Amino acid sequence: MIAQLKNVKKEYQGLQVLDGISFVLQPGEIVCLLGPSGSGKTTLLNIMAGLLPADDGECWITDKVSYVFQEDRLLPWKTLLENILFVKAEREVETARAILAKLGLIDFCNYYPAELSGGMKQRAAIARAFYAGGDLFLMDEPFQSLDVELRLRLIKELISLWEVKRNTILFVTHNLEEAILLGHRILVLSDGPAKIKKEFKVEMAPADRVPEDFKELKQEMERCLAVVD
Amino acid sequence: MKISIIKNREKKHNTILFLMGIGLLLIGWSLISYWLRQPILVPGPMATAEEIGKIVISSQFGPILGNTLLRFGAGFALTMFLAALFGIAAGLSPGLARVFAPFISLIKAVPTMAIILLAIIWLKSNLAPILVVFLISFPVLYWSWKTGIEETDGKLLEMAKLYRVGKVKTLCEIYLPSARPYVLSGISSALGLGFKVGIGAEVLCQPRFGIGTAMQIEKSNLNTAGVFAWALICVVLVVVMDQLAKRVFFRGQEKRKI
Repeated sequence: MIAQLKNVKKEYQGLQVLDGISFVLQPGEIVCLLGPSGSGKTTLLNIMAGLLPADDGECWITDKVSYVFQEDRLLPWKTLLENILFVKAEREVETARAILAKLGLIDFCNYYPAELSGGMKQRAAIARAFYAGGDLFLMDEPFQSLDVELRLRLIKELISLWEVKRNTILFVTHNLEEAILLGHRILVLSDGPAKIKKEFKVEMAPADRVPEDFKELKQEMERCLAVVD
Repeated sequence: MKISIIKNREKKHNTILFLMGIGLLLIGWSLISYWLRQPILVPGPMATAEEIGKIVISSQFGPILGNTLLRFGAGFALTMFLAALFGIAAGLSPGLARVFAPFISLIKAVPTMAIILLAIIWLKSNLAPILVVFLISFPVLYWSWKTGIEETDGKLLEMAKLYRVGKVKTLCEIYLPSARPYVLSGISSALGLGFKVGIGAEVLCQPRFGIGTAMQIEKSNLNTAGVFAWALICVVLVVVMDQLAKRVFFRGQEKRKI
């Protein structure tokens, strides 16, 4: 087991954001947390990452966690390669370069973040997380600001990176297609206060999936998201 | 390639505008001097240039310049070190910032002339300007460091915390580069202010060699052109020091701004 949440609750200024979230993450699986904007997905991830305390409930999580934030959070005064190397005490330049090569960024090692496009910066953030390694990768809507074409390309690149070590990924999104293409399991959150409304399982390996094969699942998930609690 | 051509053109354009500004200043100065016809009040640019020439070739110029720069350098180096130390500490810890606040307010509020007079009472004439430069420039740089550290992007710090980056590494590779623009602007202000007040202190302290002393001698001899000449030398010195500081602290910054 990589992580276990039991009845996690969180309140912000009198407003209940998380209302008893429980789930377990197993090694090697990609779990997508699907929910509308403002449903407390980021709050949940921050609690799991130890950046926020939970008000109630239990949150057990493996020691080594990597986090891909919504924003790239690259250091503007460091080159791309230096940004990747920053997160580890010992510099493994070859490993970093290999990850950057897999994400198509090898020619941009000496570029500063300001010289890169939005998609490249987000890929750099993913590269940094994979370089840091860990048993669990928390990803908070990393592709939300990107166009559809780039988003699909990055999903493929993410899957190919995941296939190397098969670390557990908890991928937060409000995009149905992203969830269908990535997740072994998809947990649908209700619209605030958030709790797990339904769980969907997708058997096919992520690398083999195309969106057209999952029209029924997509419709079912849409219905699930549309139902008011 | 295209970017560099545009940048070169912009640089050329800015240089032309800067030179035009200097030209206007010289014309204005000449007109005032011509209109007054009293070189003892406002000597013309030519008379001042002649004085500069005389000063520069005189055997005293080296020791005067050297001693003033040495005093200013010592005071400013002390400021750089202590302002960084206390400013970073205050930026990182609001509690320490509160402890330092009365001291900084005191230094800021005491009139410059009082600081100079006290420095003369406490120290020898050649050391007093060092203390004056330090006391005047310290609050400026202290605030720059403190603000720069406080304004560090919390999201970057959160990222570093998540990846368990060590405290020293976080300080050196996140806090300090974040504070750099603030510190650079602080250095620029403190440099000009410290130098001006340092010269003022020399005027009152009268050390054996010093620009302030030289200015006072010129004034006593009613040689206003000499005072103007030394003032212009000071302007050039401040500009050169400012440019040097920018070169040292702004290295590599341009690429990041593209």
